[in-house]
Amino acid sequence: MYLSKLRIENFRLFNKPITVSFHKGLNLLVGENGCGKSTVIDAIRMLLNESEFSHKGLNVEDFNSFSRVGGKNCRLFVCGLFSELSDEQKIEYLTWLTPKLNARLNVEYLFTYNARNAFKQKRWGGCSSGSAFDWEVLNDIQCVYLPALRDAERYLKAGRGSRISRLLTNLSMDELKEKRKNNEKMGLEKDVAEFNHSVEKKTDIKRANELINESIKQAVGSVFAQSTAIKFNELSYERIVESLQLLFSHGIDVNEGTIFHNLFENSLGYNNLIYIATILAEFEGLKEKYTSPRILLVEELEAHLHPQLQMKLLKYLSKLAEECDIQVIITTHSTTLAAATPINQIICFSRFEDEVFITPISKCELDKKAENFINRWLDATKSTLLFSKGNILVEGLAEAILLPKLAEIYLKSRNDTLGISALEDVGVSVINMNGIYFQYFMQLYNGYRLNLPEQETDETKLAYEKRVQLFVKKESFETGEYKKVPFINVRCAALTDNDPINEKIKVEDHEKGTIIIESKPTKYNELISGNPQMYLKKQLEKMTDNCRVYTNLKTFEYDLAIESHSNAKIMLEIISDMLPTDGKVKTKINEYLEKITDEEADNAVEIDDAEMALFILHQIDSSYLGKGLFAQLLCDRIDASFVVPNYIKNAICFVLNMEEQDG
Amino acid sequence: MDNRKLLLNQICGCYDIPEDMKMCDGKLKQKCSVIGKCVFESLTEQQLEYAATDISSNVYLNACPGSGKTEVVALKCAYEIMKWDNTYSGIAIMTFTNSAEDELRNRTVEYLGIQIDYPHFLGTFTSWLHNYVANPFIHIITGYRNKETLDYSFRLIETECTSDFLFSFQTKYSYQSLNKIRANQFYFDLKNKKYIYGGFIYNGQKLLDEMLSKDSWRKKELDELKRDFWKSGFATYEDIELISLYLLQERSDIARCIAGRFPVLLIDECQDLSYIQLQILKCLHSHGTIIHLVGDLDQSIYEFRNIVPDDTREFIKDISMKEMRLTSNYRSNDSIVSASTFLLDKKKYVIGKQEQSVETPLIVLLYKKGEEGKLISKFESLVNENKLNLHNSRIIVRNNSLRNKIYGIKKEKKSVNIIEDYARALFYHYSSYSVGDFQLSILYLARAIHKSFFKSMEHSNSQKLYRPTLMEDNEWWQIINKVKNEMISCEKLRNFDQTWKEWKQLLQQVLLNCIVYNGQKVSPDLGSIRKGCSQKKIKDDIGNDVNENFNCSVETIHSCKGMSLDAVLFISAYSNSGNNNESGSHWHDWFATKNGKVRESNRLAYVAFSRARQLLVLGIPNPDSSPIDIEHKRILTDAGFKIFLI
Repeated sequence: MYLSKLRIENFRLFNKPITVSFHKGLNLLVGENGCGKSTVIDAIRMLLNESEFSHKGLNVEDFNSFSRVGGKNCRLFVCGLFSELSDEQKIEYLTWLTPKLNARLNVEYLFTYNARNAFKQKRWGGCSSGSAFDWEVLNDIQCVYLPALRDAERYLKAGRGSRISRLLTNLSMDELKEKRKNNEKMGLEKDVAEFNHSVEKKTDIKRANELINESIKQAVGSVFAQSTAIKFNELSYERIVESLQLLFSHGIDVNEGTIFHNLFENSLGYNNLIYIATILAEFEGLKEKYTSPRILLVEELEAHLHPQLQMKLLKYLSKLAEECDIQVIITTHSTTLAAATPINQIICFSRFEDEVFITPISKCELDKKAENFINRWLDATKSTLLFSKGNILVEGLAEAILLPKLAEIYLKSRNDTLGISALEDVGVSVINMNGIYFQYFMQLYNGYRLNLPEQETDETKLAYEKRVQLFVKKESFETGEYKKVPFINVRCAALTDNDPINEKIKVEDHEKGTIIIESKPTKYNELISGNPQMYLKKQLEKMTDNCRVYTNLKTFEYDLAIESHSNAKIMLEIISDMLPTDGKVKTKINEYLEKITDEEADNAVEIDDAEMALFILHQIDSSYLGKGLFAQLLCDRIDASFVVPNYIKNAICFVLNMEEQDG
Repeated sequence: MDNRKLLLNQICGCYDIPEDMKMCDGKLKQKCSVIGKCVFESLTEQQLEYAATDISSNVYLNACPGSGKTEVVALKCAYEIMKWDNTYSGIAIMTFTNSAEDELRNRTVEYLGIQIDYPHFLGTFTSWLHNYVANPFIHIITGYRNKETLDYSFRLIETECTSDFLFSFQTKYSYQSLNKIRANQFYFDLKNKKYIYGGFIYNGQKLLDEMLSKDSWRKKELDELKRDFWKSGFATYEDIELISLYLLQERSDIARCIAGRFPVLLIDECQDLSYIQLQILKCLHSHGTIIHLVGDLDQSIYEFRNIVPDDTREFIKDISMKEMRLTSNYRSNDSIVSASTFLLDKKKYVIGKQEQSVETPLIVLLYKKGEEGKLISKFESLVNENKLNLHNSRIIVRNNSLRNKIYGIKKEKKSVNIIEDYARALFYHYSSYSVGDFQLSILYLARAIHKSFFKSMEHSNSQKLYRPTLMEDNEWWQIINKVKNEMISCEKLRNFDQTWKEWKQLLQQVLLNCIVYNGQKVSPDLGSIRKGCSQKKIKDDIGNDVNENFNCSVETIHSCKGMSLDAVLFISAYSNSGNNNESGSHWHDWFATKNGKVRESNRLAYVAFSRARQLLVLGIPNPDSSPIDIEHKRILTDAGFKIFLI
């Protein structure tokens, strides 16, 4: 039995009913700030009457602000569905059952005060509030919550309601009950009582007490006198464990001589770990006892922990979730954690035009290949895509470095950007794919899956695969050929190189038999693409509003260079600066630079743009420079005068949801 | 170990009956000290045998009147609950009235030390059914969906309800004098496979039967109307039982879960189980639930609700329940037990254990027309002569009409009239004899307020005092209280010597500025006075100040169920009215069994007879027109009665 679905209405930012699906085991909630992750966690706490939440109660602000205006009829509603009940659980949760024999729990708050000045609350199981509701059944669901701002030190300190006392009383609950029923004392109580008794007899204490007693007698006479004793209070088990305190020592080797320190001497991060450990210890210690669901809610697991510790802790929780059948729901902003979690356990939150979208990636029905690919490929840097408001996927490092700068230049040239001057202003990420793997990533965003044709009986495997290949690359699909699936509602553009096929010419006496003449496309002479992903361009345009592919003439640097002579000039200058030797290359650079200077002085010169762009490209690719270094240098040099190629502008417009501009 | 020691050990923690009560330190020592000896010493072998019997087999405990049944059931429950080790399945202990539930609860707590609680259930059959079967699941059958709230609870509509919204649920065609029938005015009787009419029209059932057998389309219309009613989320009590049964039959997976949740059902007063309730039990039994029935089929007195003991008898046979008996009657002396048994015309196996304290425990008083008052005085002096307690004695009559006649209350018409409801509320307020009368007063008032002030608002049923659903409980109670205080503070309203017309005008004034709801004054619509009544005096329709000349109150047979009374005066109706000679109001019906078969009228008398501890007096009419003859006198003397004139 686990929480498989949650429906929320009118709770905080959710003005429309929203449903979240959860999986068994580990669930990682990711997404930008303010898109409802903590609200979902709190909705679960409210539903399950988690002790701290129920203690605090509900605020006016917990009702959605839009519906609050409506006044009396405003209704906050949360309903959770539990799936995979065992036969015993179906009996225990009888009045929670739905027609399909899942269990449902509902809680409703009305925006009117009852006689006790609290919001009117109703909680019921199953489909009807008239059914019997046994609180024992709800209390059997163990829900533990770890807040984001953890004051670990405070909770671990001795005192009422400390973690340690809670852990100890919970672990010994059965024994305690049994002993109390039979009017017996716990071992600890006996020991303390014995010690307490012996305290009185110590000579110094005894003497002090005698003096006090004597003074009383002297003062009020023996008729009115009272007797005193000096010892500790008579302590019950609960009081004793409340005065216990957790200490720590570095390392795990403990011997007679080990010195334990007070927690305030410890680091914030380690105190947090110890705090989490006390909670997990309770789960471990009581795992035999609970037949009903156990849910661990953790807000920002990464708080106060360095990346390696984050990963370690996540792995442990993940193992715990699996082995002890605990449902663990974690919110995070840590790309480290996102990268370390299998993509299908991630639930992605996004916000678009004031509406929240929650997409469990498992529901996107990624095909196996895409899923494996993404799992392999997502690292701490790349998993930023799970937190962004828009993504531009690029092929390589050069684009990744230059694109934010180019976007700035482009946005500055427009006067309708409403103050947006850079991609990070709107949370758009540029993600370096190190290749052309868009088709896998687009599955997170495109919202459709193809229904692949079946192999026919008389068809060879090869023929079938070929047919599938052709099918997959179709430009558009009829109903029945595809199905709609959930998707992350964030725009996603891919920039890819057109890479036209180079011409091969047979040469009789050449040693390889052919030479390759590289393609030199221009705006007036676009060439057919050699990029195997190109089919996606048209397909996505037809099938979704959420994803687009943008292409150039040849490659990124070639296209920057061919865009304008001023672009080319800057690029040539950088190459010139980096050139280790004077020689043919240097001469050619100087020639081009002179021509461009001439042209700037309004003299008629003839430049073969394509030839020059190709030359620049070759230089950038050559050993002394390389695309990465060049991109960095270019990034430092360019300014508003740099001309951004159209395919890049269009991609930016799409992701930022702006109108494209001509020219 | 014998049963006594087994139970003693389990419940009290003792190993043996103590020699000296004062030395006993058992858990029940307080209870024991009240009765002056060990609780377990005072229980009979029969009682102990049942309490210790194996809970995993089906048992029918046939308990004669005064057998200490409730005590045994409480003991049994406590014993089983103590042994119980399942944390989420429990025993459902069911009764038929709230008072029986309270009684059983208190007694069980005495043994158990704690309240009966989760996973067990103690309550009425209806509340159990509604809580664990109907509310959670019948929407599967009815198809009712509330998309807005996702709450599919049904709304219970009483057969008597006449609210406006029911216009949407009436037949398209008229059913002669029954007019258009509304969906809450009929229900399906599964046993006889026919529709039962529950409306106000006299002879309605006969008319409906005739129409249904003549026009086949009518049945279809009623079927569809009912389905529509259900689909909109409404149902009557009878409907709920029927739909619940359908559900259990259709969804054996759910039935299995319910049977798993309540592996044992123990039903007290099992003679009150209806056919359909028995079918529900049968269905759960087929999924593994163990059933214990406790009761006395000879005390089955709800034939007017189609509850007959033969159904239960059949059920007991069907699932081959083991029959156990409690045959010692600790309430009545043996003469009264003999007279009771005489009614049933069967071999006496019950023994009266109560020591006889009066010389003549069985007396017949012959009375003439209009001599009811005299009869009662005579009874009261008999009670005093025999040093019995008047406050623990009752006059028992067959039905409310005779009770009202004695009290001077006029007969109530079946259809509801708002003004009469107000008058009746006031009447019962000033002349309440019991908590029941007080509650009745509030109920009439609540209905009247709802109908005159908040007619257009959807409202809940009588259990919630017809509260409009949009209102909070305390809001509604305040309104009722306000109206009540306004009415009481107007002295003139109390004068029932006025005509309805005069009284209505007065009432209108009193109520005019009475209610403020949502910041707005609401003015009442009292409706019209019943046709032909406007010049009639109220006291002639409702009643006037009541006969207060006697000390013991009057109960109907149905309301005296379960009582133990020092002395009983059981009054027969004066005349044997017409065709329905089995109603049990006239004493002739009490005695005669038909071909040895016990009839409802015999059982009614049996219940009344067996209330008495020491003195049973029958008020038998002796009209001048047809004086009691020798034949009839012989019946009475054969039963053991001594006959006196008053």
